Amino acid sequence: MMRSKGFMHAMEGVIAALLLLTYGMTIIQYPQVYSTWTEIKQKQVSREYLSSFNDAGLSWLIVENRPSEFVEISRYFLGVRNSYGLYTEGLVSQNIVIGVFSNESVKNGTVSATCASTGVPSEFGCYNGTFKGHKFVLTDNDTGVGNGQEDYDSIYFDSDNNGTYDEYEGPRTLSSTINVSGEIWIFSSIDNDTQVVEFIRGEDIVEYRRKINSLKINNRETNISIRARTNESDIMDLDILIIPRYMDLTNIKPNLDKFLDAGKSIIEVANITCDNLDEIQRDIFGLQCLNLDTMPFGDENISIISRKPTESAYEIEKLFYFTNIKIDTQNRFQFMNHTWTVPGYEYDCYLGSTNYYVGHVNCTNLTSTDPCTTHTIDGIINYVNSSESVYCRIGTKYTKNTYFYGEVNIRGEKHFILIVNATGSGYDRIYIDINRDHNLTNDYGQIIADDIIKIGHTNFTVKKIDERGRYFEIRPVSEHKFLSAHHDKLYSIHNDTEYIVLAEDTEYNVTAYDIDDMVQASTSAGVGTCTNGLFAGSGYKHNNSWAMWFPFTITNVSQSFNMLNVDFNSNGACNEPGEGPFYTGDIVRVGPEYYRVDIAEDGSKVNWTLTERWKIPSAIVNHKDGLRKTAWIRSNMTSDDEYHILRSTILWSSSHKSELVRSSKTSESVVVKSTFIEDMDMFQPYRAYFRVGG
Amino acid sequence: MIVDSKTKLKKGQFFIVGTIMIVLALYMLSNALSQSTHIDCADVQNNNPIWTIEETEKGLYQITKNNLTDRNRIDEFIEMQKDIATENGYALAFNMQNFMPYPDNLVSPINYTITLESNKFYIEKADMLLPYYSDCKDAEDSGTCAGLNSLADGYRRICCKAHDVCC
Repeated sequence: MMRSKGFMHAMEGVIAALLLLTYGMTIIQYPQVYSTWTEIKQKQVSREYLSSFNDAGLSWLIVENRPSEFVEISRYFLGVRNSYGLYTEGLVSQNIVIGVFSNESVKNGTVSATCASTGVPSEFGCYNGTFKGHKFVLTDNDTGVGNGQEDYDSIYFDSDNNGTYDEYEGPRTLSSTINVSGEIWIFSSIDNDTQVVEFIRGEDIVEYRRKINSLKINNRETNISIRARTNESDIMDLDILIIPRYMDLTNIKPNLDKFLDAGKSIIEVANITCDNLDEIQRDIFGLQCLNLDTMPFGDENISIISRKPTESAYEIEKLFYFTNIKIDTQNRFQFMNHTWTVPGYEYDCYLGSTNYYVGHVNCTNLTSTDPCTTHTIDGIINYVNSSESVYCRIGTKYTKNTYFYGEVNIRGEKHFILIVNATGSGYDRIYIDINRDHNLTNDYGQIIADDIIKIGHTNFTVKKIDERGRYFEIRPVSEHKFLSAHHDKLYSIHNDTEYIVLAEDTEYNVTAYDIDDMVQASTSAGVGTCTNGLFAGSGYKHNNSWAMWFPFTITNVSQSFNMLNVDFNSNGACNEPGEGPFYTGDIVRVGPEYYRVDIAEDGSKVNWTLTERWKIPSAIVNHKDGLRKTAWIRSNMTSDDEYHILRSTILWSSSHKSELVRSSKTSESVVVKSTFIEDMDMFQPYRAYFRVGG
Repeated sequence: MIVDSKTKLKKGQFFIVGTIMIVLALYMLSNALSQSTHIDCADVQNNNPIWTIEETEKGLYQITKNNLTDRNRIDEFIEMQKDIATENGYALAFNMQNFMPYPDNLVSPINYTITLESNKFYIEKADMLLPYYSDCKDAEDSGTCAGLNSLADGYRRICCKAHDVCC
């Protein structure tokens, strides 16, 4: 009895414990329910927040990145207690740091010296060194402010070797260029422990800096900074690495892989052929050499040009056609050893390369190699007895009707341009010697902004003429030769199984078909075998023979539905991979040649029209695993349009993620995303992420 | 009334077992009720999927409001919306009929269907798009522009898979 009673008490205890536990669980669950409610509320606010930009027409604030406005708007929606952050993905990065490999560098040690002896200021000490026979001094300048730390950051360089550091000889900060006896060097790095200074040869870098300018897309500014690097430099601080010529990358492959795995990009600009192609070129850039004889037949196993938005080439092409090519002008009027006929205007004249004003001239339809000495002019020249040439140009003032000149180079063809201040209120007209006859009066006449002009084989819109005459901008508006379906191509590949054949067959028989030639091949009686038709290929060498015969068969399914199968390997079967079926309108590859097939409705014959022959593409972009972005551009980088392809590729390969604004708190548990569209210059959908936390 | 100790014990045991069963049943019922509302319909309740569809439609309107010459623009936008839907645990599908480039699209609307689906719900929204041309802003009564911007309503269907209910 006592035992039963005890048992009952024990059980009551258990029940009490269970009841307490149940109540306790309710207590424990309470914050969870609260958390879900808060989350839903925050999501709702976040959606309203994002929608408000679209509904109020303020999405340009996101594109242009105006942090101060976002802070105000965010506080309005969320109050001050929540943490929040607004991020975007899909817009071109606003700051891109590019490193360009140079193959020549010098590291020079320095010795401690008193700053008084050098005559230059420094927050801490000074170190003397020499480079290429010129003295330099390393200083801790901190841009003249001083930060209390011994961090050397500048040099003074005795360019004229006169023993003193003149005003124009420093301080030069990192990445500055130094002209040493006609060679261009970049002051590249300082080892703050050893005070060793590195100089990198920089002709390439200077040219890239001149051509790859900062730009605006949809009013969003992108600043491009180009730095010098060698294959021994640390590159992890860069966003993009440019390899400007063929280099053996074997020794630095691990570093390049690490760089790519960190979401950064590599662009190679090199005229690589099958003679200098190595394994790394395939691994990193997707290039491969094949004997054209063994190029695949039938179906494509490479990415032929694709303009689908999921293809990398799509974005590059968009950037190519919707960003401007900037042509810098020089503020000096020279005729480059040619006789030119130019429209008559007035311009100022200076002595040599100085700013010494010697007068002005007023020429009418001037034809001259030197406008100030050999032709009739109406003006005053104050300085004529000099061995120096007199150049007529604009100085620091902008007078009416003066010239700037420049050169636009489209696919290797140079075209002379003049920028003219025709109204006196700012430069607003250009003349381009389109037909390259050295006469600027018989081309388009005065071209103003928004005019469309044809340069080379491409139409361009004149988008901007700088009112101070320093540059003008054009934009390709029709199919450009580099990106044309019928000329050089841009390919994109997206996985390890894809590659681009880097060979071009120039050995075609004299009897080879011309592009657009059509050859008809009939079928004999019999259906279902591979030998009821024979197609004679064009005159390229196949199996050491000029003759190519490919058996084929047509399956006549219905009057308008026929299937073509071709026995490309002549083994008696015509249903193997790559052998069909093909349909009317398909492009079929026969070795390095591409044919469009048109099958007769009754299935009795096929018309094969040669549409093109394989050519080494102008550029290949490679986006594997959604992270590693690489590109190879076959180019000598001389034309403005070649640089424009490079610029477009740089923009494509840069990071497309950015943080607009973020409160100091870090916990942001709720994420709401939406796609926005900007379409001022270029159609640009992008994603905005709004993150909120408690 | 005399109740022997054995009966008392049995009654006590019954009381204990009964109480435990009731408590457990109530607990499970409470959990089941809260889960079915929380898990099954929470996504739809907080309107995120519907908002995604509305944002998709807004984008389509923005793309097509001035002209409609580039199908790629729609595809590019939809690809981004699909990515967002996937990250939220939905699958977004977009179908378009009668796409025509300018100027044929003036007289032929694009019919589209957007579907958004997860393992808990299915939403389908059908409608049509007509581009809005600047030429028509001041010519509402002209024959060409009349009615261009008054789109017929499509339909929207929301289904909660767990309860097999659509509305």
